[in-house]
Amino acid sequence: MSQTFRRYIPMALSAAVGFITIITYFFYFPLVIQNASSALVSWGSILTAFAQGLGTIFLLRSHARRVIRRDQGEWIYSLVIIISTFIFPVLFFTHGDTSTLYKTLYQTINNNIGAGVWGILIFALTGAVYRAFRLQNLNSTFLLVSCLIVMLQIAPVGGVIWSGFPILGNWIMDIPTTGGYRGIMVTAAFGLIALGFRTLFGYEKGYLGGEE
Amino acid sequence: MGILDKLQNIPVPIINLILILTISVPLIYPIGIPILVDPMTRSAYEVIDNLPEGSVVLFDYDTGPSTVVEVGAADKAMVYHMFKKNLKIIFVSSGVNGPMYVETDVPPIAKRLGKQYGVDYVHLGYFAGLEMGITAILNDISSIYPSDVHNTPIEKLELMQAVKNHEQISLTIYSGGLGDQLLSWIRQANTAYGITVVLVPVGVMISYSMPYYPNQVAGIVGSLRGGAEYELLTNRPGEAIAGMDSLSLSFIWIITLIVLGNIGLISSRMSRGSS
Repeated sequence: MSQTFRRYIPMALSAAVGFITIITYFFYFPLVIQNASSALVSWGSILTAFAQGLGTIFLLRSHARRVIRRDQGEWIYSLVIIISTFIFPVLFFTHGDTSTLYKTLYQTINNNIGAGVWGILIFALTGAVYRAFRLQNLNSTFLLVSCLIVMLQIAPVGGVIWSGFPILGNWIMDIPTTGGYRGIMVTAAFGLIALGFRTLFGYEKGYLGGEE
Repeated sequence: MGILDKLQNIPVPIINLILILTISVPLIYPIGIPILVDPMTRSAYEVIDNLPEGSVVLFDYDTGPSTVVEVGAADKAMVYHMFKKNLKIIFVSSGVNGPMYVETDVPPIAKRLGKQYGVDYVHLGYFAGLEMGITAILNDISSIYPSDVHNTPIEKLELMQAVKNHEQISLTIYSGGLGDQLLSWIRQANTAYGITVVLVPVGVMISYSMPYYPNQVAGIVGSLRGGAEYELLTNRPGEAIAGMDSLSLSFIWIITLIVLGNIGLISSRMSRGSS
């Protein structure tokens, strides 16, 4: 495929779409351009939905290969993924997603497994906190003391033990944490603006895939 | 193995067993530890409480199996509060799991308060595209949602006949928070159109949301604790308040573990130093 199709047309399209959506945000333009901008934004959502569908096809293709090859220790899980991927769409089209069967299956399988997996994390986290939070040096001491204070601020019992815990915890969250985050976010935003301009002017080619 | 080594190596089964007890016993025998209401939660409550009757709220219900334990109680308490205040709610979901939770959580509350689907609330379902989807909804709801989750064309829903885009929306709420949608709502709803934003994030995203409070985010109902505070403010005790005693005791156990581990570490260092 020529460079024109692989590089220049996608770059020109990206730049055109980017410019239209940005300038219509900052300036007033005739209605036809404003409408074009709105339509482009809506297409973004449609394209994402299409990409999700495409991703599902690739996922199924990859796992179907494993099942066909009977990959040792893997194919059975791939089979579960394939069956699971089809259950809910089939039920959606046959019964609808507000039907009792759909809701029951969703709640008894997806909900419980999801909540269970996340619930197990508390045990892993507790063990990890017990082993990792040790006074090794000054930095770890700061981290440990801040962690204990914020935990006692979040848990209502902290205020019962000492009324200063909620005040200290709020101070840690409001001043150092928020200040630090603001700095990181503003810096990241500048980086994002720079990346946006590079993409619009064709200097950034990573999103096209392949070599830079 | 000496006592100092034992303090640094408490067996995992014992840690987990006591953790299970600290979580489960308070649920069976509540202690009733008093809860202080955080200013961020109070602010969220006041924003909703001060909205005029009939105001339209756009609620991104991004609750899923991984987040429901943290934000589910706050979601329900806020929906209850908004219905009580006779606000109109449009439910959308930036996450694929959200619609199922809307269908499970909202109709029972609506039924109890005599709210009618299509008039007092509508459920439009999942939208793809995250930030682009949010922008598209705020520009023109029908561009993303030609129909609701029940396949009813939105022009046939009484509420949606009056709501076309951001101009009719007074407040947006985002609940969930393992993705970037939290910031997307701030950027697209508040920065672009000046719509008030309230967030209901999971615990790890609270500090991520706080830099925007109070100027761009009017209120934050953070995690289970925020849910308990909101239940307290709406005078409707529920699962979050019930979970607060468990949270307190399990945190006390985790803090005890940290302290014990460090006592063991410091003491063994001191004994090694003196020998």
